[in-house]
Amino acid sequence: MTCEDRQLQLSLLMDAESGGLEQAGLFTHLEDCAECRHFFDSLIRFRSTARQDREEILRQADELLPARLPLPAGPGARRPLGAWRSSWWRPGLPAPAAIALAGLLLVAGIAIGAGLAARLGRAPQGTPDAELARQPRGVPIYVYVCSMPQIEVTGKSIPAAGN
Amino acid sequence: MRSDEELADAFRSGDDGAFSTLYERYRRPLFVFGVRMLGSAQAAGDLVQDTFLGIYERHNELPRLNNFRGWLFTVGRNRCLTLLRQQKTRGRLGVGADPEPRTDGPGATLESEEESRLVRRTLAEMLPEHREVLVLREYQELSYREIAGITGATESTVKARLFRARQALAGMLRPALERGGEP
Repeated sequence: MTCEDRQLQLSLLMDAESGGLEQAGLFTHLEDCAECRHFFDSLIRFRSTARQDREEILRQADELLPARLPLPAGPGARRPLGAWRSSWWRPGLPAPAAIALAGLLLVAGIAIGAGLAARLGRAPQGTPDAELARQPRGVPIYVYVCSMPQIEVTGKSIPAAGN
Repeated sequence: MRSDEELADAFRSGDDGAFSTLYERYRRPLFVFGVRMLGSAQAAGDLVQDTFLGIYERHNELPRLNNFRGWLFTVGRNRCLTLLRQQKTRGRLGVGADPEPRTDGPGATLESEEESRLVRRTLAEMLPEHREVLVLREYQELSYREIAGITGATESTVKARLFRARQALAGMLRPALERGGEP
């Protein structure tokens, strides 16, 4: 067994993970081998110093860390304030910007609606749209039947209730 | 006392009190891990807060956990490695960046102060994969199995890494220990 093997055993022994390791021979070797003795001594010194160091860090923790994390108040407010940093949204979005955005959406909606109305009004005679336009009552249902390479459009209407 | 896993379940169901209890329970151990991994109390403080805020923010994605502590340290450890990679990319050595902490406690002696400084420097100079197993073992007193769960390695790998880390440690401490004489 080499010194490296013995040092591995010492490492396991330090962690009480050595299982049924034969320890007597190991300690006899330590008496004779300065290299392994230094290794074992290093582990013991490090452990002792690490425990002291940990106590010091724990004192720092009490000074540096808040006892409670600041979380947003109110039910459903699960997204903490710090998380806004990574979001496109900002809670402080200025009111004028929000109003302008709403206005833009309104204008866009009107434009789209007007475009659709104009399209229906311009439908040529004989097309299903024109036929539907001439029918004063009923809710139109469009059935688009796709057959490559042409697209055939047909229209039907359902009579309104009571008529 | 409610177990960590019960608290995690309660938090997933919307109990902020359970989250606060978990934070109170683990902020200090995670801070200790962060200080020795990142070498800076400030960075470790950020690590603790970012980790817990991240968990709070993603409570819906919180998995059902058999071992909350292990899972928390996995999250913290991954953040540490990301930060270390970023520091490396920026050419900044974060580890060991803090000024020396106070060692003016009642038991502090010149010898223990020097040893403490030496241990910090030795850890800072280690490879991150060696440092993490050593910190998890010596500062958190975790078993090989728990360390394996956190690092995503097998127990045999943990055993081997810990041994290599300790060999490196012994090599780095040798001059100081020889100067100080045999105990």
